Amino acid sequence: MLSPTRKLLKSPHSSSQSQQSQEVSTVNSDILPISSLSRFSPRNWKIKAKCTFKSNPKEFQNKRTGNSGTVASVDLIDNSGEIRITMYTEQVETFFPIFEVGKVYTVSHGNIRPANKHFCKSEYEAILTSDSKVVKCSDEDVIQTQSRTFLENLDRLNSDRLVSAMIDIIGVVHTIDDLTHLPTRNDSSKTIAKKTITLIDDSNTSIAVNIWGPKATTRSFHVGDVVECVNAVLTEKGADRNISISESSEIIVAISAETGIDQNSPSQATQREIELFEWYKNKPAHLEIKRIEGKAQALGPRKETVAKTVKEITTTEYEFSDQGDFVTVSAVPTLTRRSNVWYMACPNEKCKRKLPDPTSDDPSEQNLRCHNCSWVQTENSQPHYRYLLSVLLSDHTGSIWATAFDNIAPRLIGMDAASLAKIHEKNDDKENVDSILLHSVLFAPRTFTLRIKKHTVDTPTQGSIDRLNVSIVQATEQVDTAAYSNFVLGKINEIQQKLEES
Amino acid sequence: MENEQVTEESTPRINGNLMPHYITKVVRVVGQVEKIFNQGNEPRYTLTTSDGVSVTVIQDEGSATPQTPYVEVVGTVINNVTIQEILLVDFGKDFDMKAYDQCVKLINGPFQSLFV
Repeated sequence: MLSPTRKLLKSPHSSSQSQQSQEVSTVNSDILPISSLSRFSPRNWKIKAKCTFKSNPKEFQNKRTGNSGTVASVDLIDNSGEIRITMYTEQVETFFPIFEVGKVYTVSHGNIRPANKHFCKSEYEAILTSDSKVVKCSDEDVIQTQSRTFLENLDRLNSDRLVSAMIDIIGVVHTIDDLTHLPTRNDSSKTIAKKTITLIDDSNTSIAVNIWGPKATTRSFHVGDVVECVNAVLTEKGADRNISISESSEIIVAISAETGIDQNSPSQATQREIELFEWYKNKPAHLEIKRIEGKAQALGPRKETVAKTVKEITTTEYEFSDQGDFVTVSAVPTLTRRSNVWYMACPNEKCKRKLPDPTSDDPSEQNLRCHNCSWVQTENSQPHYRYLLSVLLSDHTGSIWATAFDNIAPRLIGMDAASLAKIHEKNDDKENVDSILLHSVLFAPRTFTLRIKKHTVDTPTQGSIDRLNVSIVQATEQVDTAAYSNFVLGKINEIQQKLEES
Repeated sequence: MENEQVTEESTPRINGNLMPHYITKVVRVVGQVEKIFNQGNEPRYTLTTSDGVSVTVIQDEGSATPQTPYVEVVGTVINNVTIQEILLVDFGKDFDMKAYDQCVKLINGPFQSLFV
């Protein structure tokens, strides 16, 4: 009679066990190059690759299917290509902690599907399942990784084509700035950490790298480190062009200046990285370095006044300089601010400042005083009324608020501010500020010459934002319809040409 | 009867070169007055359309002769160069014919569906 254990030994499992041990010894021949993986690959594929990027696990909720959970990804690279490994909920728990950026892993089993090119550089994406295996390889297990995705040298960052593109670069840390905290755009009560370092390479070019978020605080660098920036974005704002490392990018120290290239345990660094490390150590003391810069704005206000539509003004905000540019718009005032249409100003010709309201309620102290010069309101010297009219100008493309100051408002309204203030004081039903504005300003199309300045404003709720300061410099009595027709015909032509080209 | 004709059918804006397409249809033509004359008992006038074509307009009875250099005629196209006037509107002395002609080309060309 066979004992139960002996029965087990005779079961089919024993034969597969010996097969498994055979599998282990030939494991290297089972490894496939990443570039061979596709939807038609057999389920039991296996790759060996270096982790270049680890995302932060994110919560998701699929409204269509009702699924919810966490999702996380890592990017793996080998000699043939890159692939993104994505994990959901349970697999996030099992596999995600195993991955470390810079280390080599064997990964097997999973569903391969085409990747979403908006978020992912690689062609395909592998979704890990409960059958998947992730094994960390020993540090001595070195593999060659594809390095052609890296930009040859930093000088290439001068190319305008790369602006806003997602790129990979290699450089040597040259300077390190202190950590700063900036208020976030959406919620200025929260701050985001920012650390700026500059990288240089043997093309004698330097580029600033801005690291945002938690990485700014956790990563540390030394001058002379050779680093890789993966999935970084080349951003340009005015004359400032730099590399941004954010949530979806990664910055890795390939060769540390402190430890150097250890001859005993060869590092995972590429040939290029070793080259740069040596170059930096031996570079001359005074090196002429060119900084990567964006295209600077034209200095000074533009001399010619360009005719635009409202939408063109509001959507090309970045074009306007701090000094102010002139633009003409044929538009209709559709709204005006009904209160504070005028203000009291100091009559002193040299001053003209706005007079602040009397600070006390004491009737004897009701005389206005100028805070800029020494003028005081007396029986003989009265303050001037000056216009400050906010108007909403609309055309078929949109609306924009503009201010008409005392130089132009009297022409629009048909009387000076003092007269309008007098009418207001009379408190007549029929003739009042509203009716006058309605008859003179509102709904009368004119061609307005606007002076537009861009300025950055710190708001309590939205952080630092750009605003346009629009003031009316000139206004015609009527719109020149022939000129306006030609302007619009020109725009139609432009659009037609663009459609033909695309 | 005239008003019905004008309001029930659409009256496309055309220039001289489009006339052949609209024979027997009611159209709108803007032109510059060249000559006012009589053909037998019929008062007529010639217009130069926005694309430089010379067109003869047979004036409607009871309608006034054109008073300003630029006019708009709403009428039936008799043949390639003649219109029977239904309605006349004086357009003044300032009119950009080149811009108007570009407009007519857009109306009858790529954006026709917007104007039917």
